[in-house]
Amino acid sequence: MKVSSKCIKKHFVFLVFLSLSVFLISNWAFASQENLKLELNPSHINIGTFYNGTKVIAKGKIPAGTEVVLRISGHYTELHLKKKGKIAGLLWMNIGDVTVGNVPEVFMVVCSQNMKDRIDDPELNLGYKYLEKMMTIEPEGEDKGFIFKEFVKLQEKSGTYGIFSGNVKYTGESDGLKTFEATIPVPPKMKQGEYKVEAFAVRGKEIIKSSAQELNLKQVGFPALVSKLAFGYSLIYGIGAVIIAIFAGLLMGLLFKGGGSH
Amino acid sequence: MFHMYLPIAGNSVNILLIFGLGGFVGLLSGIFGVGGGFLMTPLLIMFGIPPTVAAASDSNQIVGASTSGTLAHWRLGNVDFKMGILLLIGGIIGGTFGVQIIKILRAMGNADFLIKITYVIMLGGVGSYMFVDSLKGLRGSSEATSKKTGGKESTYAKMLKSLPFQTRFEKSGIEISLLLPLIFGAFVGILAAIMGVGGGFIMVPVMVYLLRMPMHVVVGTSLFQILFTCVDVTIMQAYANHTVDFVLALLLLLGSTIGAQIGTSINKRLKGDQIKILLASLVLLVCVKMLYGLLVPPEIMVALKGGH
Repeated sequence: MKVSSKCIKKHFVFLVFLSLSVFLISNWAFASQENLKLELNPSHINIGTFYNGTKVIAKGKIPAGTEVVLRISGHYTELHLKKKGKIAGLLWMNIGDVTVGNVPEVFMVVCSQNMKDRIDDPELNLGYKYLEKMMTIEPEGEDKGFIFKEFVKLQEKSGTYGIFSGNVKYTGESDGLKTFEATIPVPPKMKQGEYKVEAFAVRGKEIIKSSAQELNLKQVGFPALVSKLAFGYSLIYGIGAVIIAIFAGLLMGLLFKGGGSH
Repeated sequence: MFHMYLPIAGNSVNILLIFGLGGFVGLLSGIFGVGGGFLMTPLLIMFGIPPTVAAASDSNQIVGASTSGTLAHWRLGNVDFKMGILLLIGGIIGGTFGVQIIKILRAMGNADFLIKITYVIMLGGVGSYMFVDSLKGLRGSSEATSKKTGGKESTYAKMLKSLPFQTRFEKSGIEISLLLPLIFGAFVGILAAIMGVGGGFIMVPVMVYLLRMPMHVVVGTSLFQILFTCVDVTIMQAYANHTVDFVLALLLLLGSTIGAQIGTSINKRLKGDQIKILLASLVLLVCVKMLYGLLVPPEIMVALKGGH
């Protein structure tokens, strides 16, 4: 009888321990699921007359022991490129046309210095390699790897592609969650439209959790008016542009009349 | 600071930089009677403007600069309207024909090779000839030159006189066949269409050496002609391709219309041979720049299609 009471006590302690463990683990897992929050500030950007690009602050929480990687992309399109090469073994010029498809006009990755060399790991696939896999190329016989490499160089030079390491800082850790703050550059060449900002929590070679938000850029005021006229009333816009140019030329001619022409 | 957003180009630019660029190209336009697209378009591309938008918006800007320049030259009595209109008609015919030629060349492949080589040879040849000729003029050896080439000139002059529809061009002080400006206009139009440039660079030497017009009248008449070509190009580009960024053109205009006026004033103070030698140097500079681009391996082996 004595033995059995001891046994019951032992089982009871074990069950309490087990329940507690299950509760803690499930709670932690629940917290990690719920709390991969991503907030963009601002999430709407107005492109006005004197707009020259801006910055967006991305804030959020990821499970402790993970690193955050942010990926900004949008406006998937087809681009026509001229391929350069040598002719007659001496002269560099355009030697053919290449069309790349399913490529975004904007592609940026923001991460910490630690993650810089890991984003292209095959298990993570968060960097340029991800793009290369998706990109289509015409004609098909072209060297895809080479064209992609040069295409990325071209886009990076224009400011719409980039890997920004060191733009992430961690500001605190509590309840098994780590708070991050990242600065996302918004170059002036990012056109109006919707872009996807994705956040990935990475541990080792595994993406633990991901979350996404939309970043919206919109032309307002004078730029919006010019765009509306140029695309909606193109003939009137063209004639108007010519008339204003002629008027400006005549006006300047009149202003300079006494300025020494005679 | 001082940035402005270009809605069609989809980028922002420094206002002062674009104003300065417009002023510089307008200055060249006023002095030499060239549109300056050869210089402006690559510079705009360098500052992040898409090639197609750069070329189209530049045409819009040239409308303003050439209006300003034509007005200033007209006041000085330097515009031969009759000659300008005939060259323009020829240019439109030639341009239309040139577009067809370029289609055939592209279908045959290697069009870019042919275009660039033609461009370099043309610029090199015209620039060198003009440079040597004006240098001789400046050294006062023009007499010896005309003696040396006297035989050739008289044959050419005889041929000119034998053509039908002889007419007097008062402003230029010459009497030639109506057909000549039409033919030469068409020739420049074909080349301009093939090379994708306005044609001022070729038109000016053609007027000086083949039509034998005085240098100052050449500049004014060339500007008058460029004005109409660019009006056509701007409207067509805006209508068909939506590539005219009026904000960019306006910024360039502010600079170029002032530049064109100052350029005209400089032109007035220079002798014909001085203008010629400066233009020849500029032509040769562009030729060297193109050759450099052909010989040095590019930094990036692909480029976006469009532009010059």
